[in-house]
Amino acid sequence: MAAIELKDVSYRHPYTKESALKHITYTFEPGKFYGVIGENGGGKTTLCNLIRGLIPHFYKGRLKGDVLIDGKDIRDWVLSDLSAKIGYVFQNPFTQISSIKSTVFEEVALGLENLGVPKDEIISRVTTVCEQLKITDLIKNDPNELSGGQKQRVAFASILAMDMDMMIIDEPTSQLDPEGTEDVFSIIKLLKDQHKTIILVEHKIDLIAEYCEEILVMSNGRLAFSGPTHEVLGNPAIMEVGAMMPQSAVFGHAMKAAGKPLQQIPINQAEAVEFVNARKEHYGN
Amino acid sequence: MDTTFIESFKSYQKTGNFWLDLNPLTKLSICSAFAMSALFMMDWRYGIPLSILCCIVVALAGKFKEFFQIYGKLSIILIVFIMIVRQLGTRPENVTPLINVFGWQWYTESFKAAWDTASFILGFSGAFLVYFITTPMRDLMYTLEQKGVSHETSYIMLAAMQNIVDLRKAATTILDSQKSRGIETEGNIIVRAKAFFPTLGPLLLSAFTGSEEKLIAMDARAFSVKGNHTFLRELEPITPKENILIFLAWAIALATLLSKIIPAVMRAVTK
Repeated sequence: MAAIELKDVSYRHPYTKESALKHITYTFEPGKFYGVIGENGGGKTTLCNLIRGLIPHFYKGRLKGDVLIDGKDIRDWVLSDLSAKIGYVFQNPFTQISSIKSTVFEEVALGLENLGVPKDEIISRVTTVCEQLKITDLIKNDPNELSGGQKQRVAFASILAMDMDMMIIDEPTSQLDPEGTEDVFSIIKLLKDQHKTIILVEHKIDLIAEYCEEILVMSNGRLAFSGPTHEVLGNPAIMEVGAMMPQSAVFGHAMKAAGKPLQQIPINQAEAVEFVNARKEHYGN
Repeated sequence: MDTTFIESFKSYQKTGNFWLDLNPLTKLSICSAFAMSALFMMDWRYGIPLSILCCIVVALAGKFKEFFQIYGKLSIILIVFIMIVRQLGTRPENVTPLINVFGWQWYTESFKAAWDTASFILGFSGAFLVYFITTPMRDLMYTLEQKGVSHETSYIMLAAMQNIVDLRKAATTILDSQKSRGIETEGNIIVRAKAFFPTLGPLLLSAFTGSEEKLIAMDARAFSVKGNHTFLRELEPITPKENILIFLAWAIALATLLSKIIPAVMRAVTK
């Protein structure tokens, strides 16, 4: 059974004339890693809100079409049941801190407390997640006093600790430096290895290219392109709808235009090196 | 990784300080009993020693500085205010002159009455201030949740406290950004007011949008999931020793009440 199914879904926010999502049809398979890219205002976050059930349970407005989570219509789900099923890390780190916990350790444990997980297990899971996200030296700090990047890590750790099968991660690295970004992606890779269903919204296209199995390109509320990562990110047409191509793919197309095509358009650095070496071996240049 | 800190969650939270480690409801009961006793006595001979006792308790709890910052100001304002009001409200009939300050006559009776009222308020407020200075709000909410207060109420109370801090920070940020654009934000009260009032719009708007996102963030943490919640941080329930302390505190309160009622009854009977 599909993890999430969207059937001709359109959505319009209250008091607006234009739909934020237009005729989206897509199936998310369990255990796969999806990347959502596209221009700002293209509908990426609205799509996340929809899959997480915040639309229509929290944000009203006009929803058409069917959204099925584990085969059950989103309208029939209770929001609290979805919150125990789908993890959601969203963009703004400043509002993701609960304001009621006085240490980072307790903040990360909050979701598990709400789920009624036994105390020993909470301690073990929170400890592991803090180690994975390299926030062990922050565990005694007041979460309200952290920097944006630190708050983002704590918010991510909090959801990660809840260990849910599906995760929606909306720009988890927007406040992070390159090192922090690498750390977060190494965790996301770990989740991928655990066969979690992951939907990641991210502007860092080279990282998306490296980790995701399928890509959705959103533009003006429509699903402009979708499919396997190679197919979508190697297609220069995605740039016409405001999405970026990975540097390696741009290089591959440049080689092709120069009359020196590689065996395939590379979408990450490792592939670019591999294809260039293969070409050198074959053609000598 | 601080393993001692992590291990501390496996047992009841303790600081090693006798007063701080009392159950929040025990502290509340004791402080309420003493506050009530100050109310019953209405006498400076009880109010002032109670105020001193409050200072000793917070000093032993290591919170004297925080306590005195509030209590010191409160004491001065209260005493001065009540003294002046009492003197102004005294009619110069059947009263004993006490002192003349630059032509303003003060009377012994109004001075004593003012002193009794001020010391009662100081004793009463001091007892409650001791409680709030030495009891973190989260501890109080934890114990109230144990007694059946809802998870949601507890969250609202705790988040409201933090929101005050957050709003203050947001106001400072907006004022700083105004300053960087060349708008005068410092100077006399009119200049400050002119700079401050325009910040209210963005401040309230950011508070509203922040609340919406906070709601979603809490939902993401399974806040509304039904069923029993776990408490990572647990406090020791009220012990038999604490029950004795509560009993003693209320016995004192009762004694103060009786010390006022019995003489009044006796007077009524002898009349």
